[in-house]
Amino acid sequence: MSERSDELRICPHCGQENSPQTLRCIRCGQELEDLFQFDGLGSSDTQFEGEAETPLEPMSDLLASLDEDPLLGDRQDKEDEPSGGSESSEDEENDQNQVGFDKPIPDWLEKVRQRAQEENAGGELAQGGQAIDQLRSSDERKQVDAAFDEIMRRIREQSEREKARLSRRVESDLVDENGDPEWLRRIRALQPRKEEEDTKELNFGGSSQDTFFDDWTDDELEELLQKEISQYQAQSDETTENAVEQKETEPSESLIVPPVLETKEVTPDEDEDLPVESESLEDEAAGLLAAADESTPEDDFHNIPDDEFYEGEALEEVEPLEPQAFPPEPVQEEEIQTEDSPEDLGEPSDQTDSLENESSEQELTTEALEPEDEGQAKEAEINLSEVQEPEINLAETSVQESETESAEAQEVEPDAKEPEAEEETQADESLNLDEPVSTEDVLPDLLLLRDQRERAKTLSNIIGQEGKRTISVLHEDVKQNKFGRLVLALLLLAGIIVSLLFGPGAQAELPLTPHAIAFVDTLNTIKTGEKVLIVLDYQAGTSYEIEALSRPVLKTLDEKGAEIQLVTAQPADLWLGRLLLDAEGLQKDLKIEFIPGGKLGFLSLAAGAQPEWGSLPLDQALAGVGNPLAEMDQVILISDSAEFVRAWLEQVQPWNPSIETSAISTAASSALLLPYFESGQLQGFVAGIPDSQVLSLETNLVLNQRAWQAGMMIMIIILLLGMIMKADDDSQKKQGEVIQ
Amino acid sequence: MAGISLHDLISTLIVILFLLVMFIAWLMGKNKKMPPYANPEGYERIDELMHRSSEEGKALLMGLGEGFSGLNGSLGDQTSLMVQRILMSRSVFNDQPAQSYSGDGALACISQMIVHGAYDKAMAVELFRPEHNQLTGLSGLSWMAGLLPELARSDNTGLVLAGSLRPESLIITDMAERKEIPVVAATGDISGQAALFASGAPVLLGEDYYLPAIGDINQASYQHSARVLNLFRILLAAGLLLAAFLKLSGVLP
Amino acid sequence: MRQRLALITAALSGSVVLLLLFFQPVAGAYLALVLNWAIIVASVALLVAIASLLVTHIRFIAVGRRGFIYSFVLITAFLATFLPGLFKGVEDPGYLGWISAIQKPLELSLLGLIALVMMSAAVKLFRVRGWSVLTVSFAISALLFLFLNLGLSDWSGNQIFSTLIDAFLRLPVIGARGLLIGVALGALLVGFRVLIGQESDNE
Repeated sequence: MSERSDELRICPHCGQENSPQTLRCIRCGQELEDLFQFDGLGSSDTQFEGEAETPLEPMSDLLASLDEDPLLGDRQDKEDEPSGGSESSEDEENDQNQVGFDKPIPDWLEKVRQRAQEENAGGELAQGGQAIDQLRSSDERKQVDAAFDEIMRRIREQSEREKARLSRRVESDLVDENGDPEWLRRIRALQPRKEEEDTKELNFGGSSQDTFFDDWTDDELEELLQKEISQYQAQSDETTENAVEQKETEPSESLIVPPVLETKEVTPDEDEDLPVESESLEDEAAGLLAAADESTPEDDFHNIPDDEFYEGEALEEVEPLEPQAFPPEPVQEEEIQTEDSPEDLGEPSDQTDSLENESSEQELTTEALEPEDEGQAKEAEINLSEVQEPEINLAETSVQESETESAEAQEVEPDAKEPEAEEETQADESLNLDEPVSTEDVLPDLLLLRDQRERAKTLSNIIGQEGKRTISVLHEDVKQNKFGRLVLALLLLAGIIVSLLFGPGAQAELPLTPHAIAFVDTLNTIKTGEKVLIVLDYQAGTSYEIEALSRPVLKTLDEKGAEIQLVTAQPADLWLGRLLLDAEGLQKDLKIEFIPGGKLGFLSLAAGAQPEWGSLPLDQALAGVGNPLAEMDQVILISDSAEFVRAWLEQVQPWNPSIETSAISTAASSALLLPYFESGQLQGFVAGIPDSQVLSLETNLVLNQRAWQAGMMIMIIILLLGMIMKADDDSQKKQGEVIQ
Repeated sequence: MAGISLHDLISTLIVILFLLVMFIAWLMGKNKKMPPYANPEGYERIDELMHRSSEEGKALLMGLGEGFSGLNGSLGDQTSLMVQRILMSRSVFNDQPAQSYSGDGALACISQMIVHGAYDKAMAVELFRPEHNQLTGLSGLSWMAGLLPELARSDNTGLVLAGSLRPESLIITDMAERKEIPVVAATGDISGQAALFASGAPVLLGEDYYLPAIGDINQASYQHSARVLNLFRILLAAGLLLAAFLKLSGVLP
Repeated sequence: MRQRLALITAALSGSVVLLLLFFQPVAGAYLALVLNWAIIVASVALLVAIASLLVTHIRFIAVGRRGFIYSFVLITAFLATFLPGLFKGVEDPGYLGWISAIQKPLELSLLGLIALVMMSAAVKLFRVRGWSVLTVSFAISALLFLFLNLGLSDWSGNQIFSTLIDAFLRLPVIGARGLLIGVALGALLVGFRVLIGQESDNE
């Protein structure tokens, strides 16, 4: 976090300690000329020892990159063009060499010079050094400083990245033959189609691919998570302490601006001056944006467990782990990141947050210090990259992504953005939480499967009903008068019993109904030898009413010599029907066939056909009799259920429209069968005792007519009594209201 | 075997017309300005019973009717299963579990699945017991005979009758009233509706039975279904009037 | 996935049956096949339900649950019905007589109770539901048909009364037809909802 004291540079003018890379003193602004001692022009034992082991190739690379820098290149070109300029530089070089001859030349310098001569690097070294000196003395020195600082930063970052990558590869090498890490393969397994697209776009991103940790495993991530939590806590404590101290004391070490803010601080002018760097950053930003965007799945594929962290979701992991269905807007996301308390930033992705939190604290310091120029601020940035080395090493991808996200979301100048980044920002800003968000936009950790949503809804309903006031309890205020009920029941029973006991039953004068007459007419049309199917569907409870009407019908059919076949789908009708047949002394060999499956069985017999490839189970069950519905002339339904008759007429009968259908049912079914009789689907029917007269039955054979009439009379009286009681209650209430 | 008859053509026409009406109703449903239909009263009472069961910690009974697998031709029990699903989704964590009684084997099995699904969805499968849902008989009266003893228990908070109910079901409502247990009857059987209307129990008449909306559950489906039925009813009425006019004018034979 | 599978199965089954019904002349054999499958499934479901009922009550007896004596009665009655039928056959006259001697009185007594219940309901009808078009029309029609079915006099001799009575007797057709149309519409709607997968039983 803090620099080592032995690396500090003491300003010769004011004595202020400055960081090694600082070009000017942060207090007095005096140039620290002896900074560039690495080229051997200046010497100190400490630095010599430290740099003696450094190979020359990196230095030449550094200088070569300096040459390639367009800022310097332009200047050098200008200087190279006039011949006088070169001569003067050669003179200055000779002067320096002459000055150097006065001093004892160390061995390393001799080697450097020898190598420089061999590689013609000496000239470059000399020219570069002279050019730097000249540039520093010129008005455009700031640009040189900025370019150089930028190069230095990149070099450091690159070396740090290499170190981190090497160390991780040593720790783990769980990549497959395609170079895909385990976490990526697991994600692909979860979302294969999406991942293919991701891969394509990542390849397109090129440079951004390098910024990802492509060799992290779950164990490593877990370890990293633990490490980061502990480091962050330690760092945050230090940061807080340092920030407090630095505000009070000399801010020698406090110019810590995280690299996250580098892009943010780039001004348009600098962008113009640094086109190559800007483009490279933009490329990286675009690649990272694409990668970060692709980490948001389009399909509701799965709920990834909380412990399965992967880098692609670095930003998403910053989201609080709430059952939130929709992702917040990116701007809000940034707000959340900055507003997150350190305790909440326990996940590896919180590197971004930690950096930003620190930056927010350190921005205050930076602003308070008012650096004299931008170059100084950039030095501070470079310092930060060194100071925060552990963080960057541990979460390089997070930092890279956070750089990009920061560049995108934290008011980066529009000119510095890629079009894709702009579109992404606009798209994100256009998100509205009030509107339903498709699953494509929902973060994978926040996605709920349909089953889970329904479960959540169920639980929500259950919880929601807790404490809800019951509105009105049904019949709560209706007190049951059991005594009154008993009196009514006894009255009815007494009336019927008395009617049964006293006097002979009178002949009822019941009206003849059209449907009953039609039934008899249909029955009379049956000729000898015609096949009549009788379907039994009644219960033991209604057997007396049904059988009273069925017996004369069966007897008539028997007398006519019709060919009767009885079927039933009710198990109870197997013995009820047998008892009926036995009581009438009908055909002894008449058998009742059981049709399994109820109405499905009847439908199968009516609409189904015998398959060519074999027989069906139902056919085998009726092997002895064949299809009972085949070649029938009439069907008589004996049922106590209007629903059964209705089902037959609507589903079975249409498949055999030539078969005439009639029915025997209870009085309760009469009203519902009337429409079918009116439409002609039912040839006729008799329903209950009221229709018994049409069958030339004396009603007294069915029931005692006097008891019947007594019961009906009592029912009428009771109904009228109920109406009178209600009217009386109402009038009493009205009177009470009038009195009140 | 007959070919495609007039009945087939008419039914095909009705199906196509029905699909068209469903589409129109769906479009009408987009109009947010249309006031929603109120829930049928019977289903509102079922909602009250559910809350009462939850508050009192007593069992809520449900009679599912005769069943649809064999002997009964109506689709009414499909609706009763939907009612059961809604009811179970609210009562899985009640102190006393809701009990269901079926009058048919297939109905018992399917309702068993529904009860299990309700516990599963509430992540409380360990609370599921097969005895919460039983077959009580293979016919209307035997089903009633099996249900009556359960109704006589003291720890019942209410009874919901839903499904294919015969007029004889009046016995059940009477016994419930004598036990001061609130009853709600919902059946697609018309004779059953007529008989149950004479009782004091709230009863769903006509096609209201097919529009289950309990509280805020199933509201979207209910609103859409009610709109479809209303539109189709208007169309049918217009068709009947037209047919009557054509018949009277001698156009139709 | 399990729920969706059930939904898809239900929707497919319904669609297949509908198609086979429409193309019955050429697909009658397949229709019979599908219906036979349905019959088998329903029959097995019945067996499963009966087995579940028995197991449950056996468990009640085993654990000594309160009221287990009723479970004992149920098991005993089941065995007393099942075993003779299994060994003597369901067409044995003795067996049929024994079963019907139990079942008929039980069900008839239940139906007899309905008369008492109806009478009680008639008293309470207006007190519970109040005066409304529905209750008044219900009461008028009930009184009318009760009176007509009394059989006190023969109205067929008088042409005017006869016509009037015929008109009254046709009144239920109007109401029943309207109700049947409404119920059919509801059933159609439910059927469509099953077909398009909006009704799921096992959710």
